[in-house]
Amino acid sequence: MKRIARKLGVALLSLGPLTGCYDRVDLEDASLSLVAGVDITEDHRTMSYTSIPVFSKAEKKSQELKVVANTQRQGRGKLDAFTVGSFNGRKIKVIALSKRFVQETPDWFRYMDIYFRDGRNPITPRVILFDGKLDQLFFYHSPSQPMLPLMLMGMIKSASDRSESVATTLQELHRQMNEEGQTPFLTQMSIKQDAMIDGTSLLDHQGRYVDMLSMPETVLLRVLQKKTGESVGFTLRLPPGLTGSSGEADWVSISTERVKVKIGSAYAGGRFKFSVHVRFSASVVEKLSSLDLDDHQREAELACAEELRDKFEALIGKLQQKKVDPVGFGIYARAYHYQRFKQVKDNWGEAFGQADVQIRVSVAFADEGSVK
Amino acid sequence: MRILSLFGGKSRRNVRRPGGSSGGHALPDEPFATDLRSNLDKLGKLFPDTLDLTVRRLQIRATGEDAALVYIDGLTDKIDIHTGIIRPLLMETGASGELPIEIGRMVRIYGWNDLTVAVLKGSSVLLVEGSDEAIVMRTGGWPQRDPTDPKMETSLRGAQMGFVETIEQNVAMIRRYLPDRELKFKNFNVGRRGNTQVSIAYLEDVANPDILRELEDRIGRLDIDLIINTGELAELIEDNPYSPFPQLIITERPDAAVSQIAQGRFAVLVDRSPTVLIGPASFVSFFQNIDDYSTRWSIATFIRMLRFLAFFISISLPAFYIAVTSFNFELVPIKLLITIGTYRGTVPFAPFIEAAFMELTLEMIREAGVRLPSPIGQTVGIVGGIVIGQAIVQAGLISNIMVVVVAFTAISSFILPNLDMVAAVRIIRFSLMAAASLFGIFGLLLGLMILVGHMISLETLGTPFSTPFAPMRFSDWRDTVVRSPLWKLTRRPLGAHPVQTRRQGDNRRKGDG
Repeated sequence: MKRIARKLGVALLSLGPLTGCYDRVDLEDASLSLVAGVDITEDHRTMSYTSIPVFSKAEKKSQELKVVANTQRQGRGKLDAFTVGSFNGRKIKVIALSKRFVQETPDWFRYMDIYFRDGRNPITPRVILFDGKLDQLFFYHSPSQPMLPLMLMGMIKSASDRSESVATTLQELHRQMNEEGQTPFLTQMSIKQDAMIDGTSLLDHQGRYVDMLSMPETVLLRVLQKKTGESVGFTLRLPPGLTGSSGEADWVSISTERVKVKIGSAYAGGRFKFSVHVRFSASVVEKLSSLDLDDHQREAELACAEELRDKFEALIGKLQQKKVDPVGFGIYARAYHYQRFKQVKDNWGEAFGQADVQIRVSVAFADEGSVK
Repeated sequence: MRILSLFGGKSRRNVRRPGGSSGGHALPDEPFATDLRSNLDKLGKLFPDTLDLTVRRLQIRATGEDAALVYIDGLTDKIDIHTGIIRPLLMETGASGELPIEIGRMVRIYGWNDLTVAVLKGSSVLLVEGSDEAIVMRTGGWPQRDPTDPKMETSLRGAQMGFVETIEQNVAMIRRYLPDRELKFKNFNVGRRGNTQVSIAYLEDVANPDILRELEDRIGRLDIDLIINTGELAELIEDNPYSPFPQLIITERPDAAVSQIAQGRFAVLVDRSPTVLIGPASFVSFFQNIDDYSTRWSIATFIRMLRFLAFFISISLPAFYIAVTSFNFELVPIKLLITIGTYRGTVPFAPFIEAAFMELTLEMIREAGVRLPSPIGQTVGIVGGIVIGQAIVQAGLISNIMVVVVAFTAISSFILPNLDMVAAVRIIRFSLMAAASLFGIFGLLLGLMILVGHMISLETLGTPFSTPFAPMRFSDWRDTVVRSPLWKLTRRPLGAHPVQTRRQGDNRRKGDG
C-alpha cells in the first residue's frame, strides 16, 4: 500500500509541470472565428473581418464584426473587445480576401503569416476571393441560406466536387505562391442576386490579380490539372452537317467516365513546347438531335473531340495571353528540361506565354444511354 | 507475542491436508474414553446449550452394546438416519461382526476435534460403549435449493442450469460435462471457523502444473476466519488487487466453467457459494461468452467486435466529450460543433461538472436498480429516465448532447458480458474523465497509454493478462476479436500454458469429402 501511494504521488507530481488547465476554454465561452476576412479601406489600411457563431437562444445565429488593424493578430485583439467569449481563430474554415485587397496590396500574402507561424491556427481553411467590398459578404443575410460559414463551405464544396470551381486551401495557396512553375488560383465569389461562385481567380507569381476563369473554363482547367473529382459534364454542339437538323437541335451532353491527360514537354527554337493529349471516355446523357449514334458513333466522337479541343485551345490562349500558368506546365518543364527552366524560373509566366502548346483531344463513347 | 506463538503460532500458516481437523479453537486433540458415559459427559461440555444437537442412546441388537448416535438436527437427513442407521442398529441381528449400518460413507475417528467438525458439518457420529473410536457417517441434509437458470449470465443457447450452494452438486455438474478420468479435484479447507471446502478442478493431462502449484500455494497460505463467497477468495488470491481489472473470472455457469477447464484453465469451487472462480483469465476472456460458440461464427465475430468497440466507447466517450468541449474543439466537424455549441450555450456548468454529475447519476440509478426488489425497481427506471433524463434538459441544467453521451456509455457498458469487467470500466471511465478535464485530448491519450501499460504488465496467476496481444501469440488470435469457425480452433489457447495443446483434429474435410 505504501509503495502504491508513493508511486501515485510521484505520478501526480510529475503531472504538475505539464501544461495544465490554464489553456482550457469551454466551447460556449469561446468566440470561435469561423470566417476571417481581409479588406482595405479607402486610405489603404487593412481591415479584419470575422464571423462568429453565437451559442445562445439569441435570434441571430452568428455575429459579424470588422475592425481596422495593421495585422491579423492586431485585428484579433481588437475583435476580442466586441465578443462575449475569448476570441480565437482555431476553427477558421474560410478566409475571404476582397478583390481590391489582392489587387492593390503589394505582396499581400505576408498578411497570412500568422496562420503559418502560430501553430494553433489551422492551415486548412479555404481561401476565396470576393469580388466586392467584404461588407457586402459579411453583413449579407440571405433568409434562404444557412449562416455565413456554412453557406460558404457548402458552396465551395459542391462547386469544387463538380470541378466547376477550385477549393484552394491556405496550405495549397502557400505552395502555389512559392512554386516557380505554377501560378496561384482561388475561388472567386460575388453577390449578385444571392451569394454565388463566379469561377476561378488567376493570380500571377507575385499574387497580383490578373483575370478570372468562368465556371465552364474552370472545368477545363481542372481536367488539365488532372484534378477532376467525380465525373464532369460538357454540353457540346455537333456540326449541322452531321445531325442534319436545324441549329437548335444540335446539342449533345456527355458525362465523363474516365479522363486521361498526358502532357509531354520539349524545348526547341528558344521556347518550350508542350503537347497535351486529353482522352475522354464518356457516356452520352442527353441528345437533342435525331442522329443515330450506332451508325455515326465515330463521327459524333470526332465532332465532340474537335469541339472540346477548341475550348481547350481557347483556355490555353487566354492563359498565355495573361502570362499565367495555373495548370503547372512549368513543373513539367522543370522536371524534363531543368537547365532551360533555370534560365526562366524567376518569371515562368512570361516564358509560358511564349510557349507552344499543342492540344489533342480524343473522345470515346462508353455508353449511349438507355434509349435509342 | 511469545504467548501467542505457544498456542496458535503454527496456525498462522494454515496449510491443511484434505479432511484435516479444525484448528480454530486450538484445542489439543483429545482421544475418546472407552466409557460411553464419560464420553457423553464430555460431549455435553463441548456443546453446552446446543438445542439442535441430538443424542440418541440405543442398544445395538447385533452386539448387544450400548451406543449413542450424535447429530445436529437441522443439518442431517432424517430419513437417512432413521432408516439407514437407527432401524438397522435396533433390528438387524448381524452375522458378520460388522455393524449393520446402511450408509455409504463411513469413517472411523479417534479424537474429539474430528468429532466436533464432523457433527458441525452435518455428519452423524456413533459412539459405542467400550470402544475408543467413533464412526462418522455422512448424513448431510441441510437446506438447499435445486439448480436454477443463472441470473446474471443468461444465455440464449446454453444450459439452463447454474451452480448451487453445495459443492458436491457443483462437482457433479462439472463431471456431467467431463466424464474423464483426467478431471481432477484438489481439495482444501479454508477458514479457521468457516472451514470451507475449496476444490480446484482441472484436467491433469492438459493444465499446466506450475500454475496449479501457484494456485495451490495461494489458497493454502490463506489464514482467515471465514470465506462466505467466491468473490472474497478471488480478492485474496488475485495477483494485483490494486488494478482496476479483474484477474479471475467468476462465473455461475457450469458450461462456461467446463469450457475453460477444457482449455487448460483451473476452476476453483467454493462450498456454500453458487459461483466458481476461473483462472488464469486473460483480458480477452472477459469478452468471451458461452453463446459465442453456439451461434454461427460470423455473427459471433461481429458481436465480439461490438463488445470491444463498446468497451472502448464506454471507457472513453465521456472523457472525449470533455476534452473536445473544453480544450480541442477544432477536432469536431463544424456542423456538429455548432450543434453542440447551441446546446452547451445555455448550460451553466463546465463540461467536466456536467459529465461527472450525469455519470454519477447513472451509477446511482444502476446501483439503486440492483438492490431494490423488482416491483420497486421499475420506479427507479421511471425516475431516472423521465425525471432526470427529460426534466434536467428542459430545466437547462445539462445539455442534450451530454444526455446522449451518457446514454451511449451506459448502453455500451451493458453489452459487456462480464460484471467485473463492467465495474472496471466504470472506474476507468471516471479516471479518464478527470484526466481529460485537466489536459484535454492529451490527458485522455495519456490516460489510455497508462492503462495499456498497466494491462501489459498485469499478471493473472503468474501468466500475462494481455495475452495473446502482449506477448503476441498469433495462433491464439483465432478466438479473440474474431471467433474463427470451430474447426479452425484445433489448438488450445497458449495463454493458459496447457501442456497438451492439441484440442481437435481436422473436422472439416476439404473438397467434396
